[in-house]
Amino acid sequence: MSNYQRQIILPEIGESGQKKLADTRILVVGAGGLGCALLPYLVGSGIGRIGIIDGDRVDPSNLHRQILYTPDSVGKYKVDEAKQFLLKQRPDIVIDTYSTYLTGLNARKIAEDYDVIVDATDRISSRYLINDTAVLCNKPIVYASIHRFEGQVSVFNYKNGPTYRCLFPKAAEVPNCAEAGVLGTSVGFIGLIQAQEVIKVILGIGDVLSGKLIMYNTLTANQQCFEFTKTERAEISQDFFEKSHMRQYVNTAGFNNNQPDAGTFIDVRELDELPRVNFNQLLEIPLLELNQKMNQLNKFETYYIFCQSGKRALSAAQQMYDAGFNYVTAITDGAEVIANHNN
Amino acid sequence: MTITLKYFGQLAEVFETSEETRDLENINVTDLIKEISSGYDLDHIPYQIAVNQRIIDCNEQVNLNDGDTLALLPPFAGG
Repeated sequence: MSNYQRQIILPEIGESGQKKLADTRILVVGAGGLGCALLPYLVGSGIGRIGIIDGDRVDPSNLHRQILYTPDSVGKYKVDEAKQFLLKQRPDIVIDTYSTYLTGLNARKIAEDYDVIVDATDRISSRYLINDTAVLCNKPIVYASIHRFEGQVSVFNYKNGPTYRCLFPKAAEVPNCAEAGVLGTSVGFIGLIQAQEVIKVILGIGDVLSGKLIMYNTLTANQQCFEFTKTERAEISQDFFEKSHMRQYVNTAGFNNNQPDAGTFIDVRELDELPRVNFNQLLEIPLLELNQKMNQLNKFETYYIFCQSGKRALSAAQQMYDAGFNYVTAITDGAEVIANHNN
Repeated sequence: MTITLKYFGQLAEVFETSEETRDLENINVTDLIKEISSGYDLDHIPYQIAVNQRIIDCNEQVNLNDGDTLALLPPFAGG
């Protein structure tokens, strides 16, 4: 008997619905609280191929809610740990992993291989990037997000319907789970509403939440639905995409004497490059080791990055920005200038 | 007229309530928002406004009627 017999006997699914699931490829952006909640159920439903993209490694503070990971996962890429779990659950599924962050440079190439995009990220800028990528690639997005005990769920760009920019036209960062706090059951609950929408979109059953925003409060069990329409202003072109997502993101500044009191410096030169610079708050992390050591840094701290000329600092700051660090400045002055100012 | 106001996410935290009612003379959405936000710093919180569960365009002039519900909806980031 088929593993899927219990869902195939549902009149809304049947053999043809099961085939649709098997033929569908979905991309899950973010393997955090939402991703961990929805992935096992989507895998279990018989979806044929799942891509997971996330450049984060597992941190002990993730374990209370990101249920695909164990203490042994700490320090390892989330996507690799998630894949290992999900393949045990269903050895015949195809899982593609991308241990990197979605950026303006890689988003379209990755998204083109999938039929549905699941936005399970934890940053507003990623949500706009996913939105604009999906519009250009003509893919529906199933969206969810969390603030403390409240969740939002919607479906964007479904059959040319309204998008995230129609719902929230103004971009501004707001606190994520690391900043605001979250309970595992809340994010798990919202992640399962999101998973249900993915199945509805694939099968074309029920009322897909296109043009509808569900607000769910997990403390009061109160659910409200708000309607929104497509707006002309939110038109997304190739040119708009490049301007919004492919420009240099990071802050740059010359060295000034206020910086040493305002944050931590990171010297990304090799340890034998001279002159060495002394600050009270200084980390020495050669550029090549940055990716590996990034999980020891705090995403909400202010960092000033410098090197010998400013070039490596820019590249390091970009890597950190893409990894979710919000307050990173690349110093355009080289170490010699900084050492002269400082000593 | 009586208007019900609903706040979500960070806005519920700023206003220290998720719902309140206000008795007002004839008022439109723009003026009501000015009134409720005076004394609060909402500059760093983006939000959309829904009247009777329908999200309105920020440039739309909407008059309110007795019994209407206004909801302030910020985007959430967490995942």
